[in-house]
Amino acid sequence: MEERIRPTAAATVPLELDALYEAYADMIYRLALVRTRNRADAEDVLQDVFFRCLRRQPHFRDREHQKAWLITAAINSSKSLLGRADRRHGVGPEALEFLSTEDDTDNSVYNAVMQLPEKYRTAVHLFYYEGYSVEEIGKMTETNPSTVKSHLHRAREALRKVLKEDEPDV
Amino acid sequence: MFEQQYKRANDRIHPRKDLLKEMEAKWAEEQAHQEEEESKVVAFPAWAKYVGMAAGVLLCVGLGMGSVLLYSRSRGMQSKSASAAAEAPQMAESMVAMEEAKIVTATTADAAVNETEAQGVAPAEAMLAASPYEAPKGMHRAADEAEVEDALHYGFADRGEAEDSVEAEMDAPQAKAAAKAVEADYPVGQILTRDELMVVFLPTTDQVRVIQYANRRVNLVFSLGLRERGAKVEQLFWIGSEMLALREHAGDTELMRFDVTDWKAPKHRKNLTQSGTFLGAGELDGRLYVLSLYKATDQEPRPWVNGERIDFADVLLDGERPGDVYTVLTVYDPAQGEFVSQTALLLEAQGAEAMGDKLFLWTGAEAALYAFTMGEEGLTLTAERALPGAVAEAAAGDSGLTLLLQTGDGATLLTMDGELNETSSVAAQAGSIRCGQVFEDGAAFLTDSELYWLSPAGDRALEVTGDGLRRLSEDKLLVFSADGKMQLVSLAEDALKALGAADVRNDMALLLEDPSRMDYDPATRRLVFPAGQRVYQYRIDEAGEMALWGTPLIFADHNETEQRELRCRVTAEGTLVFYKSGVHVCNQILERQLTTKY
Repeated sequence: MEERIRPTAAATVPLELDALYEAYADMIYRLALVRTRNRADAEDVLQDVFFRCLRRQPHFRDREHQKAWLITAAINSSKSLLGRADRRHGVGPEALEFLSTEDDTDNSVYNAVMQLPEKYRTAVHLFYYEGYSVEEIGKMTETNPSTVKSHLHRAREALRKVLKEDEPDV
Repeated sequence: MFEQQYKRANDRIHPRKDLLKEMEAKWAEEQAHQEEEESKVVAFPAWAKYVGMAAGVLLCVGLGMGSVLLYSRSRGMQSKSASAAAEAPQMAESMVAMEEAKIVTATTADAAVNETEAQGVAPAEAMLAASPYEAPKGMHRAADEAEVEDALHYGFADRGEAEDSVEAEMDAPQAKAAAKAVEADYPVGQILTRDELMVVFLPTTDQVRVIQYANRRVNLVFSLGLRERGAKVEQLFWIGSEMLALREHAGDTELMRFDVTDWKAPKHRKNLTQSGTFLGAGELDGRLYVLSLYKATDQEPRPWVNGERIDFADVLLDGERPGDVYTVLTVYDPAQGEFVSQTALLLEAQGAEAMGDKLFLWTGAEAALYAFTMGEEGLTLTAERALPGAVAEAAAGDSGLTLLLQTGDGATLLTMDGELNETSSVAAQAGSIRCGQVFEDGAAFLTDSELYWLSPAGDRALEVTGDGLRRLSEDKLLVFSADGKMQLVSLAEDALKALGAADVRNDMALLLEDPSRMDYDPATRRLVFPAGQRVYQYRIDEAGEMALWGTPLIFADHNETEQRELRCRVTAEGTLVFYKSGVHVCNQILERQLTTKY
């Protein structure tokens, strides 16, 4: 399975849905969830990204290139979904109630990140979870690297504040 | 520390397990559709090529030019297939009908939005601009030459008429753009309506969409995602100022409550839960009755409600019967915001009906029927009896409970009062029930070769084959079959009498799958339903003759999936409203047809 999606030097990499899904579904879904804060929307983004990839069959230099392409596609897809008229009207705070994971341990940080503004959430996720550099995030989100830096800085400040407030009094 | 915690939390998040299967099915469908489209596009140039070659061999300049002209015309048609050209006369009729009725398909709405995009307006803004009371800017454009050519080809008498028709379609009213704005890619489930609001449930994504329909325009008011891993929404209710969604969550039944006093900003209230898988729910006198089936285990021998075991005092039939499956019944009162009654019955119910303060439950395995009285103190068993067969259909009305039973040698209609005393019984040697419906005054059902009407007055039959039925009025019943035939039957005679028949010659199977796609307006005696690519309108005259009304409206650009999602309704003002994927595709008045034809 892994072999089928490993890119070669040749121009076209054959892509299959199940192989793509196995390799990247978790990654795209997590990013989409961070951006949309809604499971159903995250699933829509996941499907949109994979279908887009299958339709276009882009030429990937290597696996990293493919991964970056999928992340950029996920960002764009969720951006258009978030901008849709029905979505603008439709997602209120109650959507957040459905985000809690089954296991409550260690969720405070995740939930705190989810309370951040959308651009901070994306930067935090790509930097801390996916391990991309500020420059790489800048390219993916079409943002100046210094802006990404400032987003990360503000996000850290906000998180520090929120998590401190949540700490129980000793 | 922060990074580790964030990483751990993310590592636990995965898409649901069945998502890949759903995606694979959709992808396969998309590919099949694409292949079909490609085969159509390829077919025409090949044909044109041969014409060109023949022209070359003949070395006839005039003929060669003719073929070039013909080829360029085919290019103008783009992906419209050669088969569409063969259907030109029929399409011409339909286009005229559509023009008369001012029916515009989704493609036109697409064109309108795309045009807005081309003018530099972001699509989302264009959709927002398409609010019900404000016309989106830049929606009008001059008729494109190719489209006019198409229109001419489809039978418009002259160029001026064709241009007018194209421009009329492109000058899209706001409703079409609004429809586009609330479009979804999923089929429609339950639809609830009240005044000018419509709640549409999309089961594929567990989304609820509230759509306002006013002044012949539509607008999305709110969209709410109810999806959660391991949960499936089963039924929606709208009682007072609350929208209630019942779902199964990890093997238990959950009642989700939303305060919808302000539809634009619904508030989620605390969920209520009861043990067991969802069996059914119903509204009676402003209260909601919720039934679930709970299989007892050693660890949890008794069912629970909101985490607390039901009191022994509230468990009926306990210890008197074998079995470990309970039917859990709760009564939710929106005014109090909580379950006002909770009861468990040691029996595995198959179905239930409520009538006044009476609740009837029946089982499948031993075919028994139980009657309860619902009081302030909960349920009290008042009567029980064995049934001579399995319950096929049931209905509760003012006169009591009516059951259509499949017995060993045929079918029986039983009518009982609240104490399960038999008030009437009609038996028919009818074989197996293919489909049936129970009404207050009787029951209709189809076997392999006959239609039966059972009522307290006796049983009557007619040799009619069919796969589905629908009662249109007190004395008329419509039988439709998968081979594309409809037959109208009179119930008013001593014997059932066939009145009229119509041959739709199309995909009637869509109607059989979902009879709610058909709508009947008794005021104008109009019968409307989509089948295949066409939307048919029939009119039934006073003598019961059924005649096709006008030309079927063709949604030629719809693919198979979209056809399966298309429904239509006749509103009180005579408007035909089409729904596709949870929204109105278009809504247009057909008054002109109404007044001119009848």
